[in-house]
Amino acid sequence: MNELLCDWDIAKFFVFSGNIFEPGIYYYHLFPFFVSLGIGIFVFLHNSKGVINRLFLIIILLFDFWVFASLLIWANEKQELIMFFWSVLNIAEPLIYAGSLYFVYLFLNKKDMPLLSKIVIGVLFLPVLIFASTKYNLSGFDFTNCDREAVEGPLPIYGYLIEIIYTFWMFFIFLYAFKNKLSRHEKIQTILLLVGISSFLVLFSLGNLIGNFTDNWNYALYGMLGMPIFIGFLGYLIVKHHMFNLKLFATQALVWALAIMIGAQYFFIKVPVNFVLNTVTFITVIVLGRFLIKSVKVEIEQKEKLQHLTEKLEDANVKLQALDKLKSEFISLASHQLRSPLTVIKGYAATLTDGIAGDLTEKQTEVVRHIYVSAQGLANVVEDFLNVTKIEQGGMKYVFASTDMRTIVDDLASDMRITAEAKHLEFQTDINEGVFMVNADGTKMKQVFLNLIDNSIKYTKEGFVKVWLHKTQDEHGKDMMKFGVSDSGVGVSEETKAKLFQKFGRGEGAVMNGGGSGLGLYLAQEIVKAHGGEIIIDSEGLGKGATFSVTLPLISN
Amino acid sequence: MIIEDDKDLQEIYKLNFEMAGYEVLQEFDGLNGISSVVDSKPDIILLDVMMPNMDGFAFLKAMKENTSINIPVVVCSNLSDKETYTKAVSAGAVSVLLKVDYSGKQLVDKVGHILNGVDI
Repeated sequence: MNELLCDWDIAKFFVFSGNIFEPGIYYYHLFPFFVSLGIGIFVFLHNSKGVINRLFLIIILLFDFWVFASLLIWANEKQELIMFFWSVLNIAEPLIYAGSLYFVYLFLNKKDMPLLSKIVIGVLFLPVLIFASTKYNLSGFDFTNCDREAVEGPLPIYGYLIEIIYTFWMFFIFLYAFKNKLSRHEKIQTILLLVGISSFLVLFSLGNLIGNFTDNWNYALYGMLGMPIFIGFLGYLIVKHHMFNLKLFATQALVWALAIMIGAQYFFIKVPVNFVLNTVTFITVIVLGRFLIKSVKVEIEQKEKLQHLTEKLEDANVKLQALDKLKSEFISLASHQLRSPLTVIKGYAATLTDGIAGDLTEKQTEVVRHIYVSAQGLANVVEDFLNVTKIEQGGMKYVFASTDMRTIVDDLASDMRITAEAKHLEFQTDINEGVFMVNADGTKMKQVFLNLIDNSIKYTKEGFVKVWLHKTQDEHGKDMMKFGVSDSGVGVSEETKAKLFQKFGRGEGAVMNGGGSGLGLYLAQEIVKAHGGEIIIDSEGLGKGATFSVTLPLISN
Repeated sequence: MIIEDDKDLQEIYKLNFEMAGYEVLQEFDGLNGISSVVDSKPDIILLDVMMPNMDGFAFLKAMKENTSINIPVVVCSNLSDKETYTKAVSAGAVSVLLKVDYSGKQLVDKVGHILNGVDI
């Protein structure tokens, strides 16, 4: 009845009629329809068993159905058909969003969505399905001015709401994926998917939204023309999943665009010469384009290989660092385990020689002193090995503090007296009064002094060992302290002097004492250097005794 | 008080300290150490680091956080790494010693210095 009043054309094949305000309507609909269908089928055939490929085809089919329904609404004149397709359109729209959400999840996480998420998506969508055929969806039909428009109820608004929820959800998946994907390749892929899918959905909804608020539905049409681009973009992402690269994508797009543009010339060519010229250009572009794409592909593959190797190297480096840490821990523990029994041996020996466990005869004291000295020697060797390892690792840690060197030297002198006297050496001291404050690691400096005294005792068969500590000044008049050990021992020849401070460098006296690690002086030098000091040997030659001295800067008042 | 799991070292230290006129209390792990410290409130504590049940660091932490006792603690360990040193000092130890460097008598001297406020 109304159809007659309004003088509407009767549509052929549901959609072709004169009831449209401009013929472009067909182009705006049919072009995206066929192009996206083609891409969807292509992606599906590329891997028909792939879940992502199948899902992509389903989204495309939903989209195409939506496009078809939209065209029908524009062009058809039958109220019942328009009402039916309009209401189905309102179901299809949120479904496209739900499908896109699922698609994004699968694409980024490479595994199926948890059941709970699927249920939430379904429950949100359920009202749209239930109320689709009620007045809440479409409440009437508008014949005013011969418009053929359905009057929408509240349900489509709910549809927009869940579309917004799905969209936010999608962005959370993106954010999460972006945070957890480490490689640059994956990050680029994630960004491109984000660009592709959001462009697709924005264009898809923009016309709808504008239409809803301004009542001008024509805008929706322009957006639709852009859709195939992003559908193609997404299709490309899926197909080139494994060797995806922006550069390759751009190259291929360029070559294809050139080929299509030149190919399109055929529709306008009227002169045969131009036909030949165009064909030559067309073939040239295709052949050269293929070469270009191939060379870009090779370059990218090489780059990817390099990146893969770099990642492997980084991985190996991390493992090495872990191993290095393990080594340090092992050394630390091993030295602890070696020290523990030595502490007990030394402890008992000293308890005996100090007379704490009762008096010993002179002979017994002598024997126990030997035990003590040997244990001390072994403890020193352990210390040396540990410290050399630390220096090699660049990890010798110093705890600098204002330290009185005189206290340290005093303690050591009284301690080492036992060792010297056990060898029947005369043990002399010349330690000046006053404080000798040095910014030093007390434990480390003590080790240096101990080492020097210990060396002198070891390499002196008879005579004396003298420990001394003086204040002095360097050439700039700065206050310095000078610690030294002089002895009447084997002495050092000129050639040996330099060698002594090398690792495992041994002097002439080494024959008479095999117990050292050969590391003591090397360590002493390293430690003194770290304190900004100097260690030197004075000896007039073999058999003439030696003096080892350490100079350190004093803290000025 | 000496908190040390090595029985020989305990014996050596006890002999030396008693000889010097100290009264010595002995505990063999950190857990027993902490309850004993609360009961007997010694003047000074010698504390090992690697011990069963509760190690030296845990002992220091427990004493600091759970009691109002303020007794000087000398950490005596055979670990010489920097980490042990800084951890012990930041946990409140007044001094950190390498056991192998100290005979019983030297330890007695050191403790005497600390108690007299000479060397902290």
